[in-house]
Amino acid sequence: MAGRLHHHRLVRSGTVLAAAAAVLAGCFYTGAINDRPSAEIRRTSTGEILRGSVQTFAAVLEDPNGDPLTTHWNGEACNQDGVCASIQTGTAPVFDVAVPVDVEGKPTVQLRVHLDVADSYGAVARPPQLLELPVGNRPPTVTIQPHGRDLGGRFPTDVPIVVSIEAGDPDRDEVTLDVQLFPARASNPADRRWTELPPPVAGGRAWELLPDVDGEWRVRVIASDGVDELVGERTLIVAPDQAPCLGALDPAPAPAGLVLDAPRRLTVLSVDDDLDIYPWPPPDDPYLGPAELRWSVRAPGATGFVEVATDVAALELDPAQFAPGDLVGVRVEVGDRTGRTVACGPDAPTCSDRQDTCLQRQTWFLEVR
Amino acid sequence: MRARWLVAPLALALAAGCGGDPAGDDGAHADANTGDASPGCGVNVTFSPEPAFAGEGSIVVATSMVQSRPPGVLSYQWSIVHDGAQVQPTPVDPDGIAVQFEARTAGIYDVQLWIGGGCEPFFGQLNVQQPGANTRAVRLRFVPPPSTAVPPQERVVTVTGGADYSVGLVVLDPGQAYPVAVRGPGGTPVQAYLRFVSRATPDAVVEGFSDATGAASVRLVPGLYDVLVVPSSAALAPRLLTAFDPLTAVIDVDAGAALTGVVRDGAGQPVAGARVSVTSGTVPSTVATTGADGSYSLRWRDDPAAAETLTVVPPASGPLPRIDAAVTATGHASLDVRYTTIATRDLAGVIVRASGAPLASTEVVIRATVPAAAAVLDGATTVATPAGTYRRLVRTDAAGALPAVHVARVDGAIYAAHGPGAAAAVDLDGAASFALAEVAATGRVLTSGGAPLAGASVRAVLTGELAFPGAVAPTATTGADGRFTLPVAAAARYAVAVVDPRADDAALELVLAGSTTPVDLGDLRLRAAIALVGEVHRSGTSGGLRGVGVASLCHLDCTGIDRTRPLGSTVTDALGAFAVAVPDPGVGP
Repeated sequence: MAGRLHHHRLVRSGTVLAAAAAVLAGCFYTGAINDRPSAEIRRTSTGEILRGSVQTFAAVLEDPNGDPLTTHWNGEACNQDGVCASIQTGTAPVFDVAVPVDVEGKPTVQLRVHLDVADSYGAVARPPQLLELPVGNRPPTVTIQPHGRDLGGRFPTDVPIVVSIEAGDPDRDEVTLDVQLFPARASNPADRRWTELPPPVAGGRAWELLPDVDGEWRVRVIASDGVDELVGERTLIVAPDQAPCLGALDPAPAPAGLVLDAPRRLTVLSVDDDLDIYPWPPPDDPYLGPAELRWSVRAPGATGFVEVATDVAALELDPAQFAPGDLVGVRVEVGDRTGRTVACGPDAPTCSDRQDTCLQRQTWFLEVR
Repeated sequence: MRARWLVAPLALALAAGCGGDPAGDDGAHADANTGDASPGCGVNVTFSPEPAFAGEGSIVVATSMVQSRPPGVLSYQWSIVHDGAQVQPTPVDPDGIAVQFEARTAGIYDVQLWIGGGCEPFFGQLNVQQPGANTRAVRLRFVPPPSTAVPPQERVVTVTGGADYSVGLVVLDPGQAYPVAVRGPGGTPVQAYLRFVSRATPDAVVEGFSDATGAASVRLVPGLYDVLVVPSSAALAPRLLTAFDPLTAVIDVDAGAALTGVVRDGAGQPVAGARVSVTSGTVPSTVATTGADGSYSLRWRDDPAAAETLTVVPPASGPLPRIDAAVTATGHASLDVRYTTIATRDLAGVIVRASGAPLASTEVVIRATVPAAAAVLDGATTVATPAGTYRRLVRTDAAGALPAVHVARVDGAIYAAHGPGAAAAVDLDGAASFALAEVAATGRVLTSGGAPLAGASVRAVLTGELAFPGAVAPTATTGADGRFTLPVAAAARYAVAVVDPRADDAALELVLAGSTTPVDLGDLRLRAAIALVGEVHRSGTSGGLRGVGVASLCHLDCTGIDRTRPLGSTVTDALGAFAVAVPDPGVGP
């Protein structure tokens, strides 16, 4: 053992000095020369390295002489300015290091792991083991959500649209927003309004848009976390007033005769429209108005429908008002402030001015029992 | 980030349509978000005490529980909002796993918790009750738009008074489309009307039809149903199947029993063209029309346990009234109807006036009742002597004259759909003209706080024997002093609804009995309203259901069509959220 220790010292002092020392000592030991250990860092975690994550590394060690080895780990994190800070040390064969979110306030972009290994004689592994690993950055997220009086995603002019913008960052970085409005081509700056509202209680930020003309309006948001940017965009379609749609009805209209064997109430529960709706809005709402509901009845034996009520959401029928076997038709039509008329002929039980599922007319038929 | 409700145990109770109090006496609705979270990592929060009561120093403890906790250190960020204001929580433990807050006032407390680590945030609501609050059972009816193919459903919630109330998550079962075959004798296909009445929620009715091949497809929530089947064929008797399981898939109908008879007038002459039907319990018969010999034959099912009503409606152009006879005995195979001799009058040419002037081209309802107008006979046995009712809807000509219309020479009533409506009790015996009148109904509308309410809507809808579709519904709006004047038809009966257009208070309904003199309704004080809030989802989806009609309805304290008249109504927004008004059950006696 002493010889090997001696040899080790010679090695540290230089080859020539070692040879001279051997001669001076009166001996020449050619058997056990202490060899350096070897070391390698192996990352056992998988996937991209993200801030806030815990990374695990293992030391792969070998000593030709089978000597006990000591390990010393040092983990460093560096930001985008190259400023590094030691974040963790360890001596176990396995090294867990938590990747910090930032270094001196700036996002961590690199993780450095140093490993020093020495055997019990002090021989250290060469070369020094250093892993330099990039730390990924997840870009921020942004959600642009318009709230207004849309019908099928189309907003009317001169009615405010609140654009809520929520930004987040999976790495919890601070996110800055650059919000831009691209108005429709015919818009006049003096006639439109684009103002930021006080922050909503639920978080995020909000703007109010008052579009002055029809067309495509775009809201672009550039969200930055200091490392990456995300560009979000939302197009708002501003369109002329559209015909309202009858929504939920109770009972569901049927092509054949529902049985009227007790007093029944036929109800419109909702009208979907950009501006004129049911349930009716408060009377002092500056933008919304009530949908106009027109009820008509085809009496037994009659050929046409006769209007019987307006501006009510329900019609009640009592079989006592009819004779058993009578067939009664009840029709409801919806209109809005534009006063447009239902486009279909009088015999059509349903009607859509857009030839789609948005109906302005529905008809019930009831057979009295 | 907006709350996205998951099905929590309490919400499951709602989804089950179990009646009772699905919102829970505890009043807490604890549900979590389904955002971009780590799979399996969920957060739940429990509240103590439950139920929580409001008051100075009333402390509620909220305790979080993390399922499938991720590695690392969790940070607990709580947010508690009540009435739009933040309520400051105080950590109970160093990490903030549990917090406490003061529930000073009653109402809904929105509780949110973020713990990071990729876990789903928690969004929930706690109902804090007013001490001594009264309760009321309210039905909530949900009618999804047709595009969703979700059948209408109802829930019953017990609401506490004094503050808004959250019912939490309402999960609607999309049900499934059940194929049903309706078969007649020998397995022949039958075209029929089908009405499915859920045994769990009898007011949630689903209607459908089988086609000429006897096939129907009805979307139902699984469960048992009472099914009314009304075949189109007059040869097959309608039928009520009780506790029908839609999985049965086949409904058999048959001819049932025959009921025959003859309808004769007071002179013993056959009455041709009269409609005859009979109802046993709630099951109608086929509708028969008497032939030239006055005979009829209909098909029905005689339920010995049910009350039965025989209805005969002679042609409106003739002199005979309608009868609705309660037939007390059962087992009839033949029922004859013999009208008594009724002195009638043809009103042709009689002028109808209002405010001294003839009412030209105006719809007019004439109504009269004749006691013991007919005898219903089973063989030689008289089983009923019903009253007869005349109800004639006619139109005056350009001179205000009535067309040919026969009515009994008795005291009756007449109503004209003119202006706000004009009516009178009249002598149908000999008058050459009828003078109809309006009267003024006046009153003052007060808020629940007792202040005059300006802008309230007061609407009167004709009810009772003179009502008909198209009758005028007089409407007034209260002035700054809350007062209104409503012109109504004299002697006519109305249902009056007083509505606060801002819905701060609940609507008020009252009956205006027929009066021939001005009526002062006095002070009409509205009841305070509270909001029932919740969020509607379709089962199996995390997003809210938009455009669902939501009506709040009476539950234990109403019958008949009143069960379909809403206390309040609304529609769900893009997130499935709703807030519907109901009268405040109040606090204390």
